[in-house]
Amino acid sequence: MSVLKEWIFTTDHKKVGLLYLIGSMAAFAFAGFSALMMRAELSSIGPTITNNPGDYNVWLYFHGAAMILGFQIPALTGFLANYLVPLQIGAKDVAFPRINALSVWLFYMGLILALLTFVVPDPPDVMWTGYPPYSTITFANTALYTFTVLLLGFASILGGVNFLTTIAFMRAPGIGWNQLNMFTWCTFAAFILQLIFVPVLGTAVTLISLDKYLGTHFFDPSSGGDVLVYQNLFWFYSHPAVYVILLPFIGIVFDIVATFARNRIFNYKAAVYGGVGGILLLAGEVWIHHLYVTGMPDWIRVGQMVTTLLISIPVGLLFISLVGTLYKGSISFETPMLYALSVVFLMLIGGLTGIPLAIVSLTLHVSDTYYIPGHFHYVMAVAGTFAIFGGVYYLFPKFTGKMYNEFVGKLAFWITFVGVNVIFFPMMIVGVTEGMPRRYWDYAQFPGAEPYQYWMTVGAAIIGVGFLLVLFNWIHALFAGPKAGNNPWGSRSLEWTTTSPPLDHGNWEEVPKIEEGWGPYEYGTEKT
Amino acid sequence: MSWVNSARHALRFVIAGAAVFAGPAAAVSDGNINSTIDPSVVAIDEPEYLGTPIARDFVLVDENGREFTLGEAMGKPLILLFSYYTCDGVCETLNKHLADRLAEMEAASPGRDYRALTISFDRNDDPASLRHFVSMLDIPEHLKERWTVSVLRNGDDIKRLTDSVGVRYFWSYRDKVFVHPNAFIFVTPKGRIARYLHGAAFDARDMEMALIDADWEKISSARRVIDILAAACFSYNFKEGRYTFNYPLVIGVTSLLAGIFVVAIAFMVARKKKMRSVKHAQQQIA
Amino acid sequence: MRNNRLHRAFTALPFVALPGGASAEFESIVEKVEDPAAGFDHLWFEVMVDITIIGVIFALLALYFLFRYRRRSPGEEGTQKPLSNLNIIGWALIPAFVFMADDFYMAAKGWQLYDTYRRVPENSLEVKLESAMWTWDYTYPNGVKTYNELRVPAGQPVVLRMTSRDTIHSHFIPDFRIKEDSMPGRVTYMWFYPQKPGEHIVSCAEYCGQLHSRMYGKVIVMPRGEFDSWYQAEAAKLDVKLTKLSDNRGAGQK
Repeated sequence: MSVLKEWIFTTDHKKVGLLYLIGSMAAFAFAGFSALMMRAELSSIGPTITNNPGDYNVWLYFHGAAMILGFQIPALTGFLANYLVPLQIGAKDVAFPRINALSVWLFYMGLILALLTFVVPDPPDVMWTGYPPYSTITFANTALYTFTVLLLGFASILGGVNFLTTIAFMRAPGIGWNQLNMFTWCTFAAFILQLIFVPVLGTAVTLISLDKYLGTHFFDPSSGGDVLVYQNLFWFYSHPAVYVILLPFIGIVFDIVATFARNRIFNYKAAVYGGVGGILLLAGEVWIHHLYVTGMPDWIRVGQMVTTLLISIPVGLLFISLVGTLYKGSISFETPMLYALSVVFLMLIGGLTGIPLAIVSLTLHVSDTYYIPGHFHYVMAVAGTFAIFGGVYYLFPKFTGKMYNEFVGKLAFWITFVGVNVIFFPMMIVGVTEGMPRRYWDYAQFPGAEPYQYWMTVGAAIIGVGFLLVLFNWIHALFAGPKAGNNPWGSRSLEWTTTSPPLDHGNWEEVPKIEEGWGPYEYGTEKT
Repeated sequence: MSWVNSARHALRFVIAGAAVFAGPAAAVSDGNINSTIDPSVVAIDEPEYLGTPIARDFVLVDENGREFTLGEAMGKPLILLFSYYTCDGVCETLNKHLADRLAEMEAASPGRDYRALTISFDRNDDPASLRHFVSMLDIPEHLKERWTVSVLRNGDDIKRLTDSVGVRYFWSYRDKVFVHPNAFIFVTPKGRIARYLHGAAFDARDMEMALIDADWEKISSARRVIDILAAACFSYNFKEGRYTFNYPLVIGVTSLLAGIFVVAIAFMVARKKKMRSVKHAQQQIA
Repeated sequence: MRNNRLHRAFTALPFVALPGGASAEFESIVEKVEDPAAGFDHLWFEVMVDITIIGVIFALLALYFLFRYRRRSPGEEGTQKPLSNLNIIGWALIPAFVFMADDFYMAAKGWQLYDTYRRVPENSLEVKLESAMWTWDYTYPNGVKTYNELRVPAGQPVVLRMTSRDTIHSHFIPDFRIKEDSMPGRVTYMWFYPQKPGEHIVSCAEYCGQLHSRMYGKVIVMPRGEFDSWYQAEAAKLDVKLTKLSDNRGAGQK
């Protein structure tokens, strides 16, 4: 009982981080389960496991909302940021530990609201985008959607205030901005985005509920409202939200790759100031590419086509640094490294297939087809999830003090890696060639899509098996894993200088002294 | 679902009400309930006609006898008003309303490019009645270059033109007047219907917004940027027949500013924290 | 056989060897009107080649590094040296400009095609579309109405002027590579160029509730003559109804 109390009321950033991990993994499990249900339904034409399209729409809503708001953002900016950032900058805790605790509480409340989807009588079926007028005229429970978003958004805002101050002001003496880990930099940028843009999303979803339940006319064109304003507000946040996911996960991939290649980051400054900074600058100027087919004026579509294409520059710089880090390295292939490297390849496919989507004339055909989920699952969903899993494997010895089973880890990785390609590559093909639109419960009008759909379902089953193996590996290692050392990977980064697991409050007995010329990636030099 | 439908019905109803707001009020005078005119007969079905093109080949004649085609009047946002010139008040009121609003608009934002055109739907109107009507209107000189009062050269064209813009009207034998919608039609430079404004209820700003609405696809000058911003801040309210504040956008922008403010706060407030942690570290080193 | 060209363009890409052929089959009929769908296929293929080249370069490089620099002894560390300032700037600016050049090239191409997509040819047939849960209602210029079935003549561009009764829908014709949303309170448009008689699926591409996936119809492209006789026959039926209506209404002029 006291253990439970200790965890609930903890203000230690590591415990808060682990709470985030547990919650987000629960969201991942439920959202993954609803994905399996959808894939089962789609495996053949006609009703397969349910003859009520409403069921399918609810699974789809939950899958999207829970994966993005309940799993990826909390796992990256909640778990990884909480656990790693103070350790990487040599701080004893975050700047506002109690606010941190409050944010994890809000996160759990949001999570509970999200899970109520499976309990309430008219579960929301508005998709994670919640576009009006549908969301204001549906019989379903739009309020549940609104409040889930609001709670998780508030959790994020609190986290943002906390981490910006922590990174800006609580670095151990001697750590300059150019000696920060890539992950810390990326978290910093991600939280700036989160803080600026979350309020806009909060506004948008609140207005929908006001429209639906209090009879206002914000999005009702017959009374001076405008249906497109919602989409603008929504994507004004939700495109940057993609970078809120992308930045931390590419940050953790940088850290993993540098550690396992035991090499310095290639052109660190270009990656930070060009890559991360460039994304920060462009993130808010590209949202119209989600509205290419909604009848926005032509000039704004063409204008944002250019800004969207320019995103390739910062992302390209990050990529060059990432691949360059392998150059003259000493690369070993443990499980975290496999995940990190797979992210490089998934991002390559996902990022490049995003280029046609930036071009407005090509989007007129592929928008809202299966090509879109194919693309964003590669670049954000799967790449992000693999980075998270890589990150958990990477930190596993640190936060448990135990070592997982390397063979099972690698086996599970290869199974899931095959699975995701079996599902998401055909998804892109069927979107372009058949023109199969997304969010379909049935597809009688597209008989040509059936074989693809069948194989995608097979892929989903493979992924399911892979993730179960991962889970088994972690739980088994937690109880029966061999003891891991303080620095099993031979990393130079600050988080590995403490014991495994680190001290409860304060992380170190004494914060390590930062020598002149120290850096988290100074490999190949004398160890100090 | 019912919600949008009812809003839509309300919309149609209100439009119908507005259509008859000024016009046939005089027509229903003898108290004979059986012969009261149903205003919805001349209501414009806006969703049906918004966006439809108007043919350019109609030949019109102005008060000086000069002939021009409707297409020649296009190329700029165009305000169309259908009247008849032997009308005993309403048409004159509407045209005067147009003149006043145009004068106000020109005073408030000089140099806005537009054309206005009054066309008679009465085939008995001829250059003589037209001239009489114009003299009664007493259009200010500076408006004359942009605003023309005209009749169709060929009376058979009338029905074709009014049908294509959704304007229906009929002669009330009892009241000796035309029953017709009092709608100002805003046409895009390419000749498509962009907006209807009804009655004499709107002000100069509404009219300017409707003109912007009729032509905001292309950015041709710096002024257009301001126009676009204005158009984004206001949206047309079918129920009230005028432009109202685009609240969600304003609220959204406010919340964005709030977000930026929070980022700033995060740094400012934390300066204290920094001082504390620096001191703490110094103590440790010492 | 639908979308055969596109299918090949996509799946054959990993083996870049796809010949530029397969493009002559439709072009004989094309007159002055530029067909955006053909432009789409062309640009799509070009972009696919572009991204495949970039992808293959990065992937091969990464794979080579992974093999070449694998760890050979447990204590080994990487030997990359810090970059000089000149190198830092060079490795940032040169790739940035290469990417930017590619971006602008594609943006220009994309804009050109977009222009074709949005500039409606003069001689197009204009049909009104009102969408609703879950139906497409078409109205032809002469007042003929059809539901979930758009009949058009081969060889004439068709422009749809769209609005919606309830929620947002998206009129998507995969075979013509075009979609555009329709929504209440706004009028949107799209056009396409049917060239050969045949049937094409039109399906809703914007989530619009329970039966979103069942909201589909057909675009039936008919030979010119056949279309004209159908069109006139429908109009004749309509005229009968209309005269009846106007009798009741008793509209007249003095």
